[in-house]
Amino acid sequence: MRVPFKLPHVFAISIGVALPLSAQWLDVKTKHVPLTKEGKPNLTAPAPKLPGGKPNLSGVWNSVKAPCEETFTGKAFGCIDSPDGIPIGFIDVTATSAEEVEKGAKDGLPYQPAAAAFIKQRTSGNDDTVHCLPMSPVRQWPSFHPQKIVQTDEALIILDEYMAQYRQIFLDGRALPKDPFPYFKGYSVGHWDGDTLVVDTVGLKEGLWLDGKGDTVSEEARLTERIRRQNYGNLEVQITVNDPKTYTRPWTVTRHMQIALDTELIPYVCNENEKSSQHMVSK
Amino acid sequence: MNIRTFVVIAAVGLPIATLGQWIQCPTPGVPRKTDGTPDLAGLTPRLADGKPDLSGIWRAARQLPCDPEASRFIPCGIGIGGSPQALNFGVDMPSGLPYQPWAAELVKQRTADGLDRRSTCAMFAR
Repeated sequence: MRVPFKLPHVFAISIGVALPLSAQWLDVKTKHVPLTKEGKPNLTAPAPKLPGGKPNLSGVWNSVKAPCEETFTGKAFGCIDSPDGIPIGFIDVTATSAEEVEKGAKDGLPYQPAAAAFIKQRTSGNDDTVHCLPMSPVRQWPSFHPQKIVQTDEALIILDEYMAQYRQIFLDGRALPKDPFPYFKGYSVGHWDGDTLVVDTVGLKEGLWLDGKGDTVSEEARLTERIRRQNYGNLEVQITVNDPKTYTRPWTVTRHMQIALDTELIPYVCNENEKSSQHMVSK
Repeated sequence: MNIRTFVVIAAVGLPIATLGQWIQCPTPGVPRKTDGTPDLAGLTPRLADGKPDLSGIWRAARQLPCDPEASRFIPCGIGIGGSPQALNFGVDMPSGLPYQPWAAELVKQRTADGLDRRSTCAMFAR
């Protein structure tokens, strides 16, 4: 089931892009960057390891974006608001290329009939991000904004420039909470499977937006993310959504992240002096 | 800040604080007294390199007493009364903060209006 692309998505996109262009501490160099013979960052060098031998996922990461000029949005409205491109998976969670950024993959998601009807009546004016609400883990990876991973033995902490949000993935062996109070990020625990961090998440808020189309999950959803630093400069996140109440079968998407060097986060608070939402149309 | 504004702000902050999960998850490595209770005056923990370990979940040591009116929304005893300094950073200074005249006027107006950045879900300073 596919939902036609609606123009107001453009407004939701424009909300998210103001501050990355003015990132701070641009003159602070990232330490321990492997270099090529020419002295340039070697992004295909082996992934760094912690003293205990586990992969070190720490760093500032950007989602892989489709060139704006190649997208429907760019061709229709220009690229002033998104010069760095549009994250693949932000508008449609099934997208895997620039051609699919807005329309998504051909087959779409395997919705249960009731869920499909629910999604069909959703309008982008109700998008969580339009109202400056937090993003789900599924949508956080393909964000417009950089994210900083801080890894310790006990937890992986993801700091998100968007709304200065954080997400904690506990690595201390605790069990997932039973009947947790639903939250945008859910509750996450992780363990290592070789060099891959496997993250299980429950307690997601029912109806939250996985993308700009309004794709969603129920409170019964369980996410499994397999996070692997392929090399120094690239991070792969495979996300599996298992939610029988909403979908007829589990489905998986893969998001790609690239290291951002010599920069830092600067919080983007979307409701600071926010005057856009009153002008947004709902359909 | 008037009490109504405070109550609104406090209520805004309530849901996650009271319904946060893993509240039964014991903190590892807590120094204990002989009776088994946490020894908060125990030695500061150190990292492997000898530096003090500041990790942990922290809250302002000085909390507002539970307000009877506010407790209509926030039950007393759950410990989220907030810090007096959060309401007035200069509360402990005999003459308040040493503002320039323009800044004093701005604060006076804000106080009169009951405006607070948290009431519009914006960030606040450290």
